[in-house]
Amino acid sequence: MLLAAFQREGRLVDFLQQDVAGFSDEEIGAAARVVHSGCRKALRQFFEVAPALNGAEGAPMTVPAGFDAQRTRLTGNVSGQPPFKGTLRHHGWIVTDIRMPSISEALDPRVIAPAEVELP
Amino acid sequence: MTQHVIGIDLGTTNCALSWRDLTEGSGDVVPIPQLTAPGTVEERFLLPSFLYLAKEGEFPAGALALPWDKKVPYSAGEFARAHGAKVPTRLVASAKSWLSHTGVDRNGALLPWQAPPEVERISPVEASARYLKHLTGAWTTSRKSDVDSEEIIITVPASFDAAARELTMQAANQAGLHNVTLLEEPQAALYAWLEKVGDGFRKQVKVGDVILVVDVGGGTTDLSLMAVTEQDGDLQLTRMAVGDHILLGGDNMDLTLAHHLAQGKNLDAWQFTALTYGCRQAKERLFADAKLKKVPISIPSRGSALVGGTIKAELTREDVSRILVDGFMPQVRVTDVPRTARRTGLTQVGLPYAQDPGITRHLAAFLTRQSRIAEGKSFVHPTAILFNGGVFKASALKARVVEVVNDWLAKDSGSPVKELEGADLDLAVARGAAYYGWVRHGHGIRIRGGTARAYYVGVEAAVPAVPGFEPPVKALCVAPFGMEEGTKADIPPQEFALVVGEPTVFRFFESSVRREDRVGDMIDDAARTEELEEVAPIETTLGGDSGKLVPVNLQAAVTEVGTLELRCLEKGGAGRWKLELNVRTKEE
Repeated sequence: MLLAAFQREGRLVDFLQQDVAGFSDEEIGAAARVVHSGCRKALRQFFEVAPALNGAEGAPMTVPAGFDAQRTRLTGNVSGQPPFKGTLRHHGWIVTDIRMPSISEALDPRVIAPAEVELP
Repeated sequence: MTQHVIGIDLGTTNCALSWRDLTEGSGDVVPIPQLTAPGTVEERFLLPSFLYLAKEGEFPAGALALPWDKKVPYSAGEFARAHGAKVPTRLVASAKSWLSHTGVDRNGALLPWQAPPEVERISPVEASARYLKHLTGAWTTSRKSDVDSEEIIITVPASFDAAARELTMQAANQAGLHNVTLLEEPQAALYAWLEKVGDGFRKQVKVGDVILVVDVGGGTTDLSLMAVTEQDGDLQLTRMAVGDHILLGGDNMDLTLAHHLAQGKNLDAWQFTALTYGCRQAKERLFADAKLKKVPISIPSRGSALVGGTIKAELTREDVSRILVDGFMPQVRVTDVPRTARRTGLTQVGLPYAQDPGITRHLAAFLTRQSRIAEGKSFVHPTAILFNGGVFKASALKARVVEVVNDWLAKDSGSPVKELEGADLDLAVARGAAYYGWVRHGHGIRIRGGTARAYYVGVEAAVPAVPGFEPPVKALCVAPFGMEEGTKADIPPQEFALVVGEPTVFRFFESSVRREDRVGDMIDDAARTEELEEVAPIETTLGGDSGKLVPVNLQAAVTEVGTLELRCLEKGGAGRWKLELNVRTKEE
């Protein structure tokens, strides 16, 4: 279902299925704009996305005792006891809200995009 | 027992829905579930006013089902618009503009206009009814209340004439809505503003102010003037004048940009639609960020080869300011009038789109035409301006309108206008409609106004017949300008005799500028009076013995819902007949 939406709005499956080795960066860039703007719209329609940790990337960060190990992952010299002092490398992403469309059960979920046949 | 008022913005290109609780006063806009792909229902705040009439077997069974209607054979909203771009012969669009088109039978099955014979066409009224059904379905599903017990406000363009308002009511009835009141869109926008500023209203405007509402929607431009007056120490708002129906809006702007960028590119209809959509977004980005010089637009390929098949285009700041700002909002003089193209002998029947894209020129004509309320000046001087419609997300367009109006004012020794910060440009009309429902229950300030036009019936002058000479038609004023809702006017006795048992037709005229005519006033040569416009005739068939002449009096009433009714009352008898506004074709 999500795949169908990302294909419909942003042609994601077309983009990933195509062999792009022979194309110039400029041609890939033009196509990437289609994928970016469409998939971004779809993403925002279905999910509210926010950083897992607030703070600027590259800035010092203290990880307290009892931190949520799902939301925060330690890298580098992992030793000693919390609180840990380190640098925020990637702020991560979490979903804060989900708005899924309602999908008819009559539809075949295997169809990502139907073939289009234009009649003269 | 009514609990809510539901505000419906039945727009030319988008519809929206809002509500207000009549006991607590709380309310909001309602997200509208709609098909975004076959079998996929999602919520959006806007319902695109597009209807797709599916061919049997075109989609899997149940793919068009909605939560409140599993068997619906057509689709309204986002999927209809997207898929209809690929199948234009089954797409109904701009039904509302057809509703106010006097050149066609508006109850006739006309749409889609270019459909092949196999497609079962529907009337503009039926199309509007289907949007309303969709909106009420959304309401019933999300709020779990029955629309029969709610008050409903539907907005119409201020420029809608009596017949188009009547047809909107008809569409509402067909959709199963009965407790309906109509409200003019610019008024709704002003109500939304009043709701937003609350008591701050008194600080923002003062007695003597004249507020110009410029409402540019997707397909139409609607102008209104509102006066701030005072009665018993309370500020009051009165709608003074409304503009003509101008079929010109934001969609025209995006289309113009797309046509400009499509030059030299080989695009099919679907790609052109994608380009138009891309232009709208690029335009908004350019207007939002003054540092951007250009925005690239990618038009996806039709086939699955996206990389390499994508066509690139680029919208530059220069394009946008030349094409949109100068093209649609040219710097004109207040004395300029909109160009009208000369009609060729055979004109293809279609929507009567405005011939002149210069919105400022239409605005100049409107302010000048309303010179009767200009207090001796050559045009009406607005003191404040309220913008509405998604077009004005582009602040450069607002700035241009303000610049042009201020230029006119400066040359006529007036002071500059003040811009009123409006509410949400897309949803203000729906919000304002629900707020109006609340105001009708005695809260807040009500905008007064009555009819924005005076109405006249044609009476043939009794002159000897001269071959080749059409006898002049006199116009008898039956409803004056500013006649309030819920009032009626008896027309002073005239010698009207109706033939019973046969259809009787009256010619019908209206004027948006003649404010001094009273009921019963007669204008000598209606056809040559420029301020009068002939509209669709009115007719009635009186039951009774065929061929008998019945002397009658005429009576006009403006109903509570905002439609005009004309009745014939039998002199010295009990006979009463309603005159129907003929919405079939006007004689050209």
